[in-house]
Amino acid sequence: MGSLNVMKHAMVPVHRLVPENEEEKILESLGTSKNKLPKILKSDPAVEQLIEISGDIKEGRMVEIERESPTAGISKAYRLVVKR
Amino acid sequence: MMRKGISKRVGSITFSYMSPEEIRKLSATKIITPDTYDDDGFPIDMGLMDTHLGVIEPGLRCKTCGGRVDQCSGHFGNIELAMPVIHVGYVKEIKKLLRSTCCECGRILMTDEEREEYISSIKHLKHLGGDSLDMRALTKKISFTAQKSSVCPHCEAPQLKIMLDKPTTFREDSRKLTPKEVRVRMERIPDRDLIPMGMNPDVVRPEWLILKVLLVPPVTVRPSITLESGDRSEDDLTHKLVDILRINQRLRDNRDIGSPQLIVEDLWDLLQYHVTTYFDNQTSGIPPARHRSGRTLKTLIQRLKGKDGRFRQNLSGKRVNFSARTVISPDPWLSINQVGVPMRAARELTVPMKVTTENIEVIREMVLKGPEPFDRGKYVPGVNYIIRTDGRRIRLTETNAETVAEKLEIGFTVERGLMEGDVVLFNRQPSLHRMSMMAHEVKIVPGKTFRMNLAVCPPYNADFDGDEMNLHILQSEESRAEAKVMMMVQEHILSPRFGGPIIGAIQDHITGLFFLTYQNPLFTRREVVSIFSNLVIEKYPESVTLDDERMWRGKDIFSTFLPEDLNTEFSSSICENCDVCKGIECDKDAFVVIEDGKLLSGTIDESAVGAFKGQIVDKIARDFGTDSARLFIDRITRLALGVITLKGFTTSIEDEDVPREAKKQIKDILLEAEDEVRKLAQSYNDGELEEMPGRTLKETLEVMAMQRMGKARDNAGKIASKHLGMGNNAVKMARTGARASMLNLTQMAAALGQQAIRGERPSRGYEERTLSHFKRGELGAEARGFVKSSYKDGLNPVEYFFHSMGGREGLVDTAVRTSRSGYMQRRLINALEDLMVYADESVRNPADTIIQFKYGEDGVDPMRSIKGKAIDMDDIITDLKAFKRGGK
Ligand SMILES: [Mg+2]
Ligand SMILES: [Zn+2]
Ligand SMILES: [Zn+2]
Ligand SMILES: [Zn+2]
Repeated sequence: MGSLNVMKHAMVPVHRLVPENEEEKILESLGTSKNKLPKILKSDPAVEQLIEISGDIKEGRMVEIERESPTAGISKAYRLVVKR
Repeated sequence: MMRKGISKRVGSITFSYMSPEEIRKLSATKIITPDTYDDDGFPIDMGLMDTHLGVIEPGLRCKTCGGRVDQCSGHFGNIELAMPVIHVGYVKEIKKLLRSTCCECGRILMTDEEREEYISSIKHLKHLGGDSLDMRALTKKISFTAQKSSVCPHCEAPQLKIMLDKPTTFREDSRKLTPKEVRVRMERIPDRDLIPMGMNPDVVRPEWLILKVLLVPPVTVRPSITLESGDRSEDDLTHKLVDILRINQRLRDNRDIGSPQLIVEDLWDLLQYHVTTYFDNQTSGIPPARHRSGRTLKTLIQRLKGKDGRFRQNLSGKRVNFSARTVISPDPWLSINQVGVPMRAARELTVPMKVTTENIEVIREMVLKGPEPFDRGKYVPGVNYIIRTDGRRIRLTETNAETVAEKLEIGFTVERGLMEGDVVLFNRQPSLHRMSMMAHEVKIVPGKTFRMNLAVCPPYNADFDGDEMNLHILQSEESRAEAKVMMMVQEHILSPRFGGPIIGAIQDHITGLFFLTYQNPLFTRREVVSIFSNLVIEKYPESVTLDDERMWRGKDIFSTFLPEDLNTEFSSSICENCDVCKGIECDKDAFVVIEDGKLLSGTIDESAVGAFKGQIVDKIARDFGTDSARLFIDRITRLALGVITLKGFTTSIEDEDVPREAKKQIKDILLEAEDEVRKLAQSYNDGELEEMPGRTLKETLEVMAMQRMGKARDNAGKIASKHLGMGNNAVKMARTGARASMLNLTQMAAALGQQAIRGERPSRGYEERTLSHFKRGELGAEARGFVKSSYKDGLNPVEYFFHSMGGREGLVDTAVRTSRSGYMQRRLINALEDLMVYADESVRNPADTIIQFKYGEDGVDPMRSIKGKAIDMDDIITDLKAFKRGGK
């Protein structure tokens, strides 16, 4: 394909597919349920990259985004994969 | 998951058009006569004021539901139009439908296979949760492709281009299509063909876009008012409906008697005009309908749209009771937490008090004193109203005070006037940040203005050139408690906007403290007493004895107001940024060192106590709490005013005087710069100038000229400021940060410098020149807006013109910026108003969806941050140093 790997770009934070067995623990620590998470499109370039690495990602899986921040050190955010 | 207490949730809302059938079914009566009232003033049956449509006069009963004025909210009626007319609100839709369907058979201009494909793509989008915007984009695309075919794929009829003559006339190849014809075409479109064009045939038919029946709103929506003269004045909507009914009647009569086509068409157009303006009286392309007086009518769209429309006027914003508005004036004798309320306002505004077993006797005393009591000429709160348990309000007067006091019972509510110490909200528009509305304690003052401490001017952005402010009286215990804890002025000394103080010393406060501390002057006993007479003193400053006289040093006086364990170091505003900072040894007295609450060196000015920059204020508010910070600001501002009153302070145009030699030097500098720019222009014209990377030759010249002119002004300024020393009052204000800047002084004393339009030298006006007295293509300094004169010298006409260009740009910029940022702010507020930070630091909306996992990603409260950062290492180090010294 020769397309750009956005994940290698310095401005793109680290994306990680959350393994299904970790999901429950994370949701509990956040005090929320899947449907209340912010969404990320399956067609998002970052998710497409993740698919390239780990094979197809079904709707309803979670992605963890790890950002570096001058004030917080590292901040973690979660997204629910949705199709459009 | 359902939230607690919510048993049902709205799943979706479908919007559709009303069918003529639906309109008729909804109507309580048909309207046929344009007359409203008969000779006796009673509503005429089947007229616009028919009592089937509801009632607006007390005593009458609604003929539909039998309700009285306050029970019946009104019912709709309808007008059968003699001929159909186009609905202005739907012309776009109609145009789309006409263009994408066949003029002969009414089928969509695509094959059945294409149609089915599009229908399935729409279904797909819906399935994937596409919102209305996505849907609109898709259906627009589909209709657009359909419009491209020039021959119907179903009946092979050639398609002519359909044009819209604004606002409501359709033409097919210049032949006018009557609304009737349009309607026939709409009727021909089969249900299934509607889906690709974004219409749902289950709920809507396209022929409904052309009106056959007009819905008439209830009279309660358009009440008539009776003037003092006894005449009735009808609502604008009623006027418009009368017009429609009249023309409708004439059109029907002419049609029925078989009048010439021309006359019928004219009347039809007139009916179209009236119906169009009934919906929107600002439709472009037609003159707005006017009242007899010449005023344009406010019809349906005008009721909703814009600043005075229903949304912004009545739904987003509301008027309130228990509020007051008047001019503000300054009062240094008030604390920053206080607001001065004039007696007349205090008597009018009330606080409700519930009568209980505990307070009944106290309240009885108050009631007994009547509505306007005084105690030896001093204000005492009175009682205006007593609200009984049955909800009846009794107005208290001098005469009924005694009887009412006797009948006072537990459970009554007594509305008393304002009292000193009441917590109220004080507000100045535009309310751009949360400090625009803060809680203050009431202080009753004489006069007619609200008064406030000068240190709270910055958060409100107030001055006293006629500014007015609003006051709101809190009406419940909860609101008072909440306001006291969260909204009190002292809780807003640190701003969440930039993590520093926004309340602090301004203008004369700063000058005053400069006089007190710069070079540590000595004060005599008389002077110290005079200064301290403004204040309540807790401790006395140390004294020194010189020539047998006891004297006090300024820095020691200032230290009296510092907390005992305050330690900090920073440079003053007057610091000249020497190459090597000597720190505490600074010979300009510009490095502040405070050790254990003692000011050892440095000048107190803007960077110590000023609003926005005051580091001492910042540190006290952070480390010693808001009470200490409030006290500190209250005291040092009064201290400063004491000092400046003692010293006296003024500035005049003489402060911008510079010696003749300096004037000469400045002139030389400017002439030299002008000369250089001339040479630059010359080399540009000769083609000798070298291009800068990424710039054209012309841009290079402009950049270099701008740089050169900027340098010239700076140099001129330097010469001027060399002669304007610290002994100069204007300079004192500029350097300490009290008011104005050195640039302002330079422009007054030396030269205004280069004027710029959009950051560039002025270049437009005439052909290749800015003004007609220059040669074409002239690029020198003078021809491109360089002003050699100073404000004090005065500008020559050419300079004045360029200066006005720059000035105009400034004005336009501010006007554009405020309107645009206002709109942006409104949209942000509407989007964010119901988000909340929860105990786990997550930000969620009312549906409990997570917006941020941790507030701001770091959970830092910007108000408690240090200039946006979570911790301040420098500060920790000074504290550690103090600890090592043996401090606390
Ligand atoms: Mg003003
Ligand atoms: Zn009714
Ligand atoms: Zn056809
Ligand atoms: Zn220095």
